[in-house]
Amino acid sequence: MSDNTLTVTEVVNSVTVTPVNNTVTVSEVGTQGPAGTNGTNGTNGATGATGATGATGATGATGSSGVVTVNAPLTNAGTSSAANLSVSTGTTSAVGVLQLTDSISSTSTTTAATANAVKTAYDFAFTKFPAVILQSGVYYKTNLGAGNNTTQGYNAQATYYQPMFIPTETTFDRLAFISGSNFSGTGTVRMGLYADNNGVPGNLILDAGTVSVTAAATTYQITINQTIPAGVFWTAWNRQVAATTNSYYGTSSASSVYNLLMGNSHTTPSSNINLGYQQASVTGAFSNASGLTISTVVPHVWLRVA
Amino acid sequence: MVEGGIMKMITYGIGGYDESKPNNNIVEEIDIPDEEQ
Repeated sequence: MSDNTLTVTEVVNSVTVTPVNNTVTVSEVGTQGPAGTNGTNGTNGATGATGATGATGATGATGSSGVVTVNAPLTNAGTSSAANLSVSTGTTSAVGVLQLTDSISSTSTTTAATANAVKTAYDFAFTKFPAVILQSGVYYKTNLGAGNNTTQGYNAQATYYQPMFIPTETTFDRLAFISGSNFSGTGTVRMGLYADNNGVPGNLILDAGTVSVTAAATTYQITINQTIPAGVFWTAWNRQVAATTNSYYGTSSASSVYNLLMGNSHTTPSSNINLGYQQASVTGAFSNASGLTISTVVPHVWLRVA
Repeated sequence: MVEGGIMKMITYGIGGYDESKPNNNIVEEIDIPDEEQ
């Protein structure tokens, strides 16, 4: 109380008595209003942890017994339900297992040669072939039956292919030709190597690139590092950019020249002998040989053994 | 093979003529005696 005033404050359904200056005023308070509506629901909580793994199921029932079926060269000395298998020996009329042998003299028809026996026979066969083993550091070219060492212009942008035979796998490190003594100006010659395709040049082995020919009577060569398997392959030569006077060492068309690897080959009996093949209009990098025609002249192309 | 007994041998490196390499990729240039004279 202050200033002789008594204040009594009450709320809902109560009476408020406020004495002021020795006077009491009684005021009635109204009734409480209705309750408000409920608020919206809150968001769901986080997912709970995974439960533990269940127990292993029971073992299934035993299956029924199988039956063994045997086909040659397998044989079965047991039964269809209790097999005892083995493999028959092979013969010239029946498949089967064979005993390996290193022999190169056996006449057996029921044994098989080992890789060692094959190599022994292979090495011996080469001693009977009429070709010497190529020597390191020496230049070789296709085997022409006569010298016929002359200078020719040869066809522009024609690739000249010549076969070569090597008795063993050989690695070469140079591919070379010689400009003629009357050469003048500046020309471009491209060289490469091709695989044999049943008697004609086939897939490209190596495009060795080009050389710029600027001088007469000069050997031009490109460094290569190319291993060729034993057998026949082909050299390729093409003067792709003409000089003022085109002159290169090789053969002219003459009946006295022949290629020992090709014999007196020609499409008809002729005094002009096929020394190789030509492919016309080859202006850029080499690709697999195609459009071949026989050639009765070829430039000399040398390979040096590494 | 070539009259005069001496000829030049010009050797290009692997790949042949190449303007991007020194001396257009010529790696050796020598005079050699002609063995076939």
